[in-house]
Amino acid sequence: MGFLSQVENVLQIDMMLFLVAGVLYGLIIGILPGLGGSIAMALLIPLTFNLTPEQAIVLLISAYGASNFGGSLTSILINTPGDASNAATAFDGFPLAKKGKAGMAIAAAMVASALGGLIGLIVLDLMIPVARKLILAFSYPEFFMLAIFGLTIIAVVTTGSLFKGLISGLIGLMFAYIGTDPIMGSDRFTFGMDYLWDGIPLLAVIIGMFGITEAFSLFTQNTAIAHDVQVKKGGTWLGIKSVFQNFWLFLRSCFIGIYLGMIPGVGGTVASFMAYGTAVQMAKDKEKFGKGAIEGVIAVEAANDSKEGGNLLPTLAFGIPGGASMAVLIGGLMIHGLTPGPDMLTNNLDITYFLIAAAIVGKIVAMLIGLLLGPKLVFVTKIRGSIMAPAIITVSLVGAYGTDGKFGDIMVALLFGLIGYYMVKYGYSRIALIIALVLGKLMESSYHQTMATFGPEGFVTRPIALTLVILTITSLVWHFIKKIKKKNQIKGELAA
Amino acid sequence: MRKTTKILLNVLLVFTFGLTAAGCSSQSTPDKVDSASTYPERNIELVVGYKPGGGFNEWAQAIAPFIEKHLPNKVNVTVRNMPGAGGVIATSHIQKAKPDGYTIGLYDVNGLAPTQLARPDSFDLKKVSWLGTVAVDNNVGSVQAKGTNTAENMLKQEKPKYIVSTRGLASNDSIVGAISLTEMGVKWEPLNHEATSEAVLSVIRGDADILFGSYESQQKYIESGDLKPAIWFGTERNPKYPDVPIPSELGHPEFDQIFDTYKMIGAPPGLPKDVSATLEEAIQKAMDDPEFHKVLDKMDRTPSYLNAKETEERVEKLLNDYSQYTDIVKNLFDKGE
Repeated sequence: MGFLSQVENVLQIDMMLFLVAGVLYGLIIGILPGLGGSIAMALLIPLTFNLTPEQAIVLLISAYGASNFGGSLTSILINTPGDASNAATAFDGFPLAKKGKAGMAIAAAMVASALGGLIGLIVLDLMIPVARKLILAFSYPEFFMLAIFGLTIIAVVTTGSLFKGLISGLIGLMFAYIGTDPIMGSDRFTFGMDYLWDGIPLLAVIIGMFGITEAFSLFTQNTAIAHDVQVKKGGTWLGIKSVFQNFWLFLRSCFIGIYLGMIPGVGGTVASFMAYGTAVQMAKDKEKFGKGAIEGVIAVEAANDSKEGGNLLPTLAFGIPGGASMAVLIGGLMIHGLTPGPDMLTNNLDITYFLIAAAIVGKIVAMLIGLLLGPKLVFVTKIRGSIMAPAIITVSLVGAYGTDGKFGDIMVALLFGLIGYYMVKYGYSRIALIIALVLGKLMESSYHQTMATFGPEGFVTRPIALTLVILTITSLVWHFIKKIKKKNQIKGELAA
Repeated sequence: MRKTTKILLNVLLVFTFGLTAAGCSSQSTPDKVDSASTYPERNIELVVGYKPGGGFNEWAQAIAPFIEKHLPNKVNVTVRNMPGAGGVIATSHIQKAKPDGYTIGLYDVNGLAPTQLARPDSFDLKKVSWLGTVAVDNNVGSVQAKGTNTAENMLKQEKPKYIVSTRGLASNDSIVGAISLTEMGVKWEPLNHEATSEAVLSVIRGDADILFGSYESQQKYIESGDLKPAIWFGTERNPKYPDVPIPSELGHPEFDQIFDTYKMIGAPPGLPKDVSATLEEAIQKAMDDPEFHKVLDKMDRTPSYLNAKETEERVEKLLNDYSQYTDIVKNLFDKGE
């Protein structure tokens, strides 16, 4: 636990000022849909030119850490995720808000985030000696099997008609293949539009399918989000408690986050969906998910923040960014003459521990602020639909535009808002579509990469890949056996 | 401590501005027209075709304040990231912008030139009003540091085929690899990745044999001992890597120089002479500014300046050089279909 020696250096008055400023700034950036950690840091970097490297680290890392908290707030309250990795928070967080339990959901999200982040960073600290070996153990066959394992989650998370769930997933895959083909890098299914070269922007789709779809239905029903229930006060304590009541789920999700965050090219969005999927899979009562299960919120938020620890690992060990935000952080550190890479684990180990310490203190401050302010925002769930709907649409579209400043993203968000509206109406699964959209590319590219390097035997001759194959098969078989058993049971009861 | 408070206040300020800018990034409300109303009268936008976090963004962020410093009037030079389609979106945006000197761009000409040859309709680098070059870099082919691959082995084709780690087949890195290996008669196959980081990792793991790219993009991995250079594209060996051969020593002098990579600043076609002169001068002064050199030192980057005329000539030469190898480039694109 080398970072402990650096905690006192973070707890200096000037450092703490930067830290609190960074946290507040990160929270607000996070609340705006579409703007996440990488943009929060990118906007700050020019300001750090005149700071010492330590001050810069504190400012950047605390803003980055806090942006995630903000993102979960909007997911829960208005079904509009702040960032792609917060999307899965909305699956159960928003239904909870509808039941009047937004306060509880927010508190659970904050605590799960903060503790998840802490565990991620502590594990990072412990893994530093073996970091390089661990990262090199993952190659294309493992990526492919991870994607496949993720896709099987569709079967598990779709409630109701499995057939409709599969259709939704296949539509998601079709959208995933628009853009650049992963084998050669040439464009396909772009209808001659430059805009589509980089594929359908995931974030705009998520903002559309959740935020805008929600606004449409609020508008047509003209009711408040939590309309026919009493919004419960004092949910904060219940929320905090729920994390500890589901501690194993929480811990499991943390490790999913750390492992997936560690692998460059897999990324944080996948981590949060996987955590959600396994939470559903391992739960006794699967039916409650998607209708407001606090476990869904805890799993996603824990994975979401613990993945930061994982993300930092390749960044520090190789100088290879674990995700988009880490690429920005590397840029920010290089301006201060700190080149992330093996040097950070040998000559600059103090700075590395300082960074971890700053991230940990930042998380704690963000949690306190979040717990203090978050539950106060619950009032938005009682506002009339005709007022809320236009507000959600505005915020959503600004967010869709703000990510890359592309007008096309607004059109995509609106289009998917409509698609989402009809999917809900006719009982198709939005979650399945999004999971397929997230994993489609990874699955395709890693398949071709495996074929080019290891050949088909790569899937079964490498221990990690083989483990994933077995896990995938068992989880699917188990799922169907249970379903059949349940059917027979019902039949039996009917016969009796 | 006072300085700290000041910086903190600045943070808060930017964060208000940042939010507004993020919301409406088309921005740039004209500042008040000065009585001596000559160019520039309002803020100038420096467009970068990549996301924050890469070499091009870094350079743009670093040089913008110095161009600003050396312009005759007090206006801001702001960096605008317009990622997408490997820089094509930003390039066509600049191509279509008004040639008034308020939109300029930092160009990745090496990546854009082959794209232009393969699909000539979205932009034309020959028509850009070039203002100067800020960085010239050598290309390098790197292999796993602890592996046995060398340029000589590859020429002898010791393995039945060599796997080249690429990042998009239309990218400069892939084209350098494709042209040089094909002309040297080496059998190779591409292994494509979405991002440079994944392509690098693939060579470090030993899944791919070699990776081509600008020295700047590989320097840190070479210095950290994860990668080692196997071929250095230059007219002489790099004194830092005295054992690494250059193409002429491998029998291909024509590749010594044509793969140099550039970071060039340009503006929309038809930029008025006086405006381009003002901008060119500001860029030149920025490049000579010792303060700017200090910033670059910190970032471990080396500036190399070429004026507007030289820049234009280099672009022309680059396009000609690449078009010599159109067949190989086309082949590469065709493989995708």
